[in-house]
Amino acid sequence: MQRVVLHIDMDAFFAAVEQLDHPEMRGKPVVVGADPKGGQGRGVVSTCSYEARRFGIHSAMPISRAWKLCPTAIYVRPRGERYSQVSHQIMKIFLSFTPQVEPVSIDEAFLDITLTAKFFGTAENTAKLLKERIKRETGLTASVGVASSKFIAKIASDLKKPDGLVVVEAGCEKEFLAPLEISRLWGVGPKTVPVMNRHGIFKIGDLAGKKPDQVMHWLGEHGLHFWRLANGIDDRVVEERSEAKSMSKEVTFASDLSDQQELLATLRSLCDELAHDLRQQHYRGRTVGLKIRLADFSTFTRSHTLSHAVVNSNEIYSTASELLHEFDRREQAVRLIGVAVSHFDDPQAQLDLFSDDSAAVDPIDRLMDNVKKKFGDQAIRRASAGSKPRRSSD
Amino acid sequence: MKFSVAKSELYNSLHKIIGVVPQKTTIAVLNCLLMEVENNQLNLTGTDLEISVTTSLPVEGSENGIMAVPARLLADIVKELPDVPLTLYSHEGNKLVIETEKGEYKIATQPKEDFPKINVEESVLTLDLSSDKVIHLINKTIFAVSADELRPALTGINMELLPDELRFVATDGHRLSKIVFSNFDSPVKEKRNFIIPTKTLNLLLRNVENDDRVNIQIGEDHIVFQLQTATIYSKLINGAYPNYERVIPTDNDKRLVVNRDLLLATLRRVSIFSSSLTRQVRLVITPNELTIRSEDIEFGAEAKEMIPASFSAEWMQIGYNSNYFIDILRHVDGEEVIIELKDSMSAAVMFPSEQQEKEEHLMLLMPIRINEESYEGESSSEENE
Repeated sequence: MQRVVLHIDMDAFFAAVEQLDHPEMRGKPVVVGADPKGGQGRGVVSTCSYEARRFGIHSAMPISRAWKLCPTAIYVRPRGERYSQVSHQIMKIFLSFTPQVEPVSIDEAFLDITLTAKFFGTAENTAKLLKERIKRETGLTASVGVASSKFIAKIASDLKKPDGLVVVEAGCEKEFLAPLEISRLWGVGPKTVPVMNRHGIFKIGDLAGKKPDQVMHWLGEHGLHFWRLANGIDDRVVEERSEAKSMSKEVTFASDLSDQQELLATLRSLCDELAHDLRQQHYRGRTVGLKIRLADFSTFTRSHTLSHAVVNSNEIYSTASELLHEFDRREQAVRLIGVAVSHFDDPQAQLDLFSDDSAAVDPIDRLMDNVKKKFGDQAIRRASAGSKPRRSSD
Repeated sequence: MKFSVAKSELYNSLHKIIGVVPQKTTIAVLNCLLMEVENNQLNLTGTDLEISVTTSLPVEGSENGIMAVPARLLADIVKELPDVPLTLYSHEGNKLVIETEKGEYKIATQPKEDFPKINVEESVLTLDLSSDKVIHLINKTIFAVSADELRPALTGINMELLPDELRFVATDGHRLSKIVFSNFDSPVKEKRNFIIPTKTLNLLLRNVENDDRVNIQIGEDHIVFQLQTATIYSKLINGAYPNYERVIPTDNDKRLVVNRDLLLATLRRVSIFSSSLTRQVRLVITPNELTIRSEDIEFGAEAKEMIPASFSAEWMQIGYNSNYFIDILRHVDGEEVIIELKDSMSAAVMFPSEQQEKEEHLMLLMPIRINEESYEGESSSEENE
C-alpha cells in the first residue's frame, strides 16, 4: 500500500501565539527571545513573526543583531507554559485524524494517514480539513506537506509557508525534488555543500543522477544516504511516540562569570530545576552531563555515567560539580553553563537492592516539589543556589 | 614436537580450556594455546592476561617441544574430525601438522616466546574443599551475578571466609543469592572476602571432576585453583563488595509457602504472556491461594492461573520480573519454597523449607513497581468475582 505521510509545521509558532493573545501585536513585527536590552542583550531570537522576517530577522540570530535590524519591533520573552498548552491542543487535533502521530518538536509533527485518509476523502482533503480545524480551534495557521515519505513531506511543508499546503503525488517524488537546492537535503550543511559543488552537484536532481558508488567515494556512508534521499527513497516510519532521550537545563549569563562559587551556585539551581522536571516526567537517568561555553564561544561537554539511575538534585549536583571542578577553563570566564541527565532507565522500574536511597525521592526535593506545585516554580530556592542568577535567557 | 592422541581426548581438553581465550583481543598470541609435550604428557595453556588455565592429558609422546597454536582453528578442526587416532607434529618450526590416516591439516603457529609468562605471586591462604562442595556453592550463586561493567564488584562472586564459615554471595542489585557453609575448618581468624570473576568460576566448573579435590590458594590480588588435571590462575576483582547484610530484610512479617515445582511450572506458562520488555508477572496472594497474572498490552495477551498456597496475611499484591523469579526457584532445593514478604516495594526473602546439613541458602528478589491504576482496578475486579 502506498504510504501517505503528512508533515505539519506551525507558522512562526511562538510569535503567532503572542499575536493571538495580544491583538495589538497583530500585523506588527514580533520577536520572541531574550531581552534585547537596547541592543546590549546577549541571548538569541527564538521565533519571530513574518512581519519581523521582512527585516531580515530569523530564529537563532543574536538578539543584539535583531535589535540593529529592527529596533521598533515588539520584543517579548517566551512563555513556555502557554506554548505547550497550545501545542497540546494541536497534538490532540492530530490524534483525531490518525493514531500514528510522531511529534518532532513543540510545533511540528509527522502523521501517517495511510489507513485513515479514506475517512476524509483524499489525502489532500485530509490535509485541508486538518488545517481548517487548527485554524478554527486555535486561531493559528499551519503549513502542511503531503507525500509518500517523511523526508519529502517535510520539504513540501516548507515550500509555501505560511499557511501553505503542498501535495507531492506518489511517483512524482524525483521530479519534485530535482529543481531544489542541494542544501535542502537533511544533513547537507555548510561543510558538505562545497564538496558537492566541486563535483557539479548544485540541485538535488544533479545528485540523483550520479552513480551511488561515486557519491559514496566522495562523501562516504553519508553520501549514499543523501543519494537515496535525492532519489526520493526514505523508508523511515512515523514513530508514534519517541521517548525523550535526555533532559537538560542551561543558562546564558547576563555577563560572563568567572567566580567558581557563583558558577557552583548556578549549577546547584540548575540541578534543582532539572531534578524537578525529571520527577515530573518520571524519568531517572544514569549519565550526568555538564555543558560549558566559554567567553570565546568555545563549547565543551563533559559527562559521567553512574552505576545507578539518579533523580535527586543532590546526586546530580555532586556529579555535575565534580565535572566542573575537573574542567580546565584556561582562566576564561564562562558564558553559558548547563546540566543534562540522559541514559534513562525503564520508568516501570525494577527496584534495586542497593540504590534504594536514590530511588526514593530526597525529602528536601519532595518538599520543594510540593511547594512549587502549590505556589509556582519560583516560590522556593535552596540558599546554596544563591540569588536568582542573572540570565539573559533560559 | 610430536605426539599421538585420540581425537576425543584431545577435544575434551580443548573444550575445557577454550573458554579462557578472549573473544576479542589486539594481542594476536592470546588467540593461541601454548602446547607443550613433555614425555607422555601434553600441557595446554590459554590466557587472557587476567586468567590463565593449564590442563594436562596423557598422550603418546615421541618428541618433546612447545608451540603456540591458534586456539579456535585447532578446536574447530579437532571437533569435526572423526574419532580416530591423530598425530600432531611441528613442521619447519612454524607450522603444526595434524595427521590422520586420510589426510593432514597445517596450521601456522605463533612464536612461542611471545606467549605471556604468568607470574604467580605468593599465596597467603590455603584451603582444601571437595569438588562437590565447590560446584554446589558456585551453582547456587553464579546465576545472580551482574553483567554491568559499571559495577565491577558485582560481576563476580563474593567468597567470604569467616572463622567457622565459608560463604558465597552473588547479586546484580535486583536479586541476591547467599549460601553459607558452616562448621567449616577455616584458615582465617578474622573475616576476609575475595571477589572472584565469573569467567574464572565458569572455567573452574568446566575443568573440575566430580570426585576431585580442589586446592585453593589465595594471595593479595589473585586466586589459584589446583585440580588433579588442571590449574586455574586468576586475578581477583578489585573493589569493595557492597554491604549485602544491610539489605537482607529482617522485618518481613508475611510468610508464603508454596510447592516449588508447581510454582515454577505455573510461572513458566504465565510468563509467556508477559511483556517482552519487562517480563512482569503480578502475584495476588490470599490465605489459601496464589494467583499469578501477566499481560502483554502490545499483543493483547493475558494470562492468569491460581495455585494453592498458604499465606499468613489477608491479601497482598506484588510484581516481579518473571525471569528473575524463575531463576531463583530453579535454585531452591526440596519440595517447598518459603517466601517472606513485607510489602509490594520491598525485597522478598526466599529459601527452601528444608536446608541441607551444615548449610543455609537464602535468596532475595526485588519487585517491579506496579502502577497504582492497575492496583486499584485489580482489587475492585477481584471483589466482583
